[in-house]
Amino acid sequence: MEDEKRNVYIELTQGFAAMKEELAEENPIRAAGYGMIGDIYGQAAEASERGDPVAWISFGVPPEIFLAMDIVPICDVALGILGSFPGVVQGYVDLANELVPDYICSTNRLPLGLALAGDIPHPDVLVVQNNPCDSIMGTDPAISRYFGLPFYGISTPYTDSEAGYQYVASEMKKAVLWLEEHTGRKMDIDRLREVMKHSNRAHEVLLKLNKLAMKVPCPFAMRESQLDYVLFLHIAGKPELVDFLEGVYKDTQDRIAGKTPLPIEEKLRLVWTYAMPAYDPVGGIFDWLEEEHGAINIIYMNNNIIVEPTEDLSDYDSIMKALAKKSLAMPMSRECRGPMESWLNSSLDMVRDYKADGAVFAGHAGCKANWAVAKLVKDAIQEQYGVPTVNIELDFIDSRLTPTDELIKRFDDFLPLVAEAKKKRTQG
Amino acid sequence: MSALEDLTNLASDLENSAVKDWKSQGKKVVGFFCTYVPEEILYAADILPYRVRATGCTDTSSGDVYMSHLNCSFARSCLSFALEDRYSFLDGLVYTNSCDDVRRMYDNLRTVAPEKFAFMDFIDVPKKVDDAAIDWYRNGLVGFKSNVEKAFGVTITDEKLKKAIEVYNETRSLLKQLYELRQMDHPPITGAETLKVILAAGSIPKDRFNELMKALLEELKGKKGISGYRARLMIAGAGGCDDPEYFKIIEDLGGLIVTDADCFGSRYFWQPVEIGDDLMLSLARAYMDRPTCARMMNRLDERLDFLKDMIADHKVDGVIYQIIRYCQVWGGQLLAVRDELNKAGVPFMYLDREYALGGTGQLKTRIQAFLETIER
Repeated sequence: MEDEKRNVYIELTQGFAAMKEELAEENPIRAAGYGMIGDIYGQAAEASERGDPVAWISFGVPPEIFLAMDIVPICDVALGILGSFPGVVQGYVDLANELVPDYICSTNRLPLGLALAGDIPHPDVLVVQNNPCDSIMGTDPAISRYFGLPFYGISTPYTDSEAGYQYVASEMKKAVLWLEEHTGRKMDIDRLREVMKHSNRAHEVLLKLNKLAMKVPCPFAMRESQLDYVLFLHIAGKPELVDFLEGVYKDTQDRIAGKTPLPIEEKLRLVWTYAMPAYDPVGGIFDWLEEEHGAINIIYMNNNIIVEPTEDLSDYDSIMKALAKKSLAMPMSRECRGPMESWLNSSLDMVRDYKADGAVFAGHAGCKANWAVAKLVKDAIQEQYGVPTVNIELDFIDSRLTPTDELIKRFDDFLPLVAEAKKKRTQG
Repeated sequence: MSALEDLTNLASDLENSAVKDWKSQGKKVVGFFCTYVPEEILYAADILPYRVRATGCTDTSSGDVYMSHLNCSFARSCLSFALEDRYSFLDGLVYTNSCDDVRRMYDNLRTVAPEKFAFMDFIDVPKKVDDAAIDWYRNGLVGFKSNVEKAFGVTITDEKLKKAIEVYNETRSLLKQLYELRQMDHPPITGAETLKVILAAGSIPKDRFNELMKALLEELKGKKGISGYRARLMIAGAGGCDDPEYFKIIEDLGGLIVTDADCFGSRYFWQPVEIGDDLMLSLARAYMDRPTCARMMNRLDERLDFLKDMIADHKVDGVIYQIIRYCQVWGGQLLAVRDELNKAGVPFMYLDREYALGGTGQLKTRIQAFLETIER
């Protein structure tokens, strides 16, 4: 009998459904978030099965465009979320290593390995921005050619400017025409307007929610919210994301009002100035930091989404310009695309706004651009706010480079420095 | 001294005699990274454009203070040399967002040692090629030209720019003639020698280079071609391939490098600039619309075609695809290149290496094994 073919979309759906069930009693609202992540991949599986179009997109490519065109967007680099399930990604990453160098970002090697293994349905198209890094630019066009998949690249400028927004808006309009040609789906401006309303609302609520996270003590911990970024990459524009975030917001207000307990008794506040290990999503290092040390992890760069709602939804041009601005403002595009000041300022703002005692740079080995200026960012945070940073080399999705035990050792050394620095600042 | 010896000498030191002569006249030298900086703009300002490299760098510790071991050693070597004043003969530096490592080298240098160079500028080069991208790049070049004029108190007239383009087009034509000679069954020049010629092209005034090139082509006409080699090789891949010693190791083992698809090789000069009414647009179009770097997302098919054309024209027996370790643009593209050459039946070898030519034992072993599989 032939082995049944694996389909990681289905495995992700089932995996997150199980996580939802496990958390349902303790934290039903957050449990619903896991369910929504599972649904994203479930819908991709169903669309592939039906022959409806699925697009692989990169960070910064607005999902709103695809939702308005009835195309399922899957952020291929975010398939690293598979790292949430121990022991799954390594085989695929190793398989990709047979065809590309092992220093290509693992989040690019993972979709390649999945496609090589035949364990994921091939997308119908790839639509990729030229940021945040060389790895995406080098690998995605090659993946598309290798598997014979249509590819569209959206070029983005190095710095933000009015001319740059217009340029990206024009790129996106060309991408829409290209999508219409390659998927047979049409852009529906009324549908796009509806999607934008939901997207606006989701961004509004997230901004309000993140303001609550600035409070001392912090009313929710990063381990609860860390997968929200994945939701924004895929379903910003769907009403269920708004409902979910409003639920979280209300729950957080209840915590602040003392109606429900805070996550921990807070002693130290940490912000993660870059990403966080996806291989340690629930429990692991975050629980250890919070339970053992009272060190609350407040926010990480990818959840620090600061996108102002689009006011003008009157016509297609204004919407596309708004999406262009949004795409450049989304985490990763914002920090990694241009001059180092964009990441530096984002990190400094997080340390200040979230009143951090310590900063963590979880430096993904594939993120060369950030490693290249990690010292400058660390020094600036120390100089401006007297807050120490730990720079840790790891791989977001593959625990083999820096297992949780190793992370714990690094924090064992780092946390006393954080406490000492806090004491100094408090004593003036 | 033969023209080849002259060019070889000029390529051997970073601050070569032509640079010293130029500086002794009170004139400026501006370094640039990446072939997406149109040298003509500097040349038209009577500034010597200088292709920056760090050949001979064996210790990157100065750069390693700021950049990580995960960054490419070409960028770390250049940053080290800059911090150690090894580029003190340069009056400025021009960067592009050619790759993550190079753009971050710029960030580090302008942040920690802005005093090292009176002039530093940056050109935003789009990462695809189409009309809109060419227009965007053109506007960037206009800004760059204006910055050069302001910084050095010069005016770059259309007349001067047109003259510069003509000089550079002659360079391109002469280098292309050199590559045509390499198509012969018995090429009169080795790959290592050719690389030295191209290094000289990037570090001396082009009018002088053109005179030396004409003399070299004359010399080569009368020279007996190379025979007895084991295989005709092509070098393809990423930047930082600027060390003739590396080529010499390959050729000492019996391979003859007859062509390349590399930014210190053919990509540097392959297409002329077609002069139109808008010279900045002419430059923008020519620099973008030529055999591209892997950073250009929508030109993979054309790059592979260029590779295959070069293989056919130069009767290549095998391709060495070399990358400075941690180069992700060229590393990612390896997937498509290997597949395409496998389908075409072209023997292929992938090498990643550090910029500095360290222990060569393993390199020799691998090259030797490759040659054994493909030798004639």
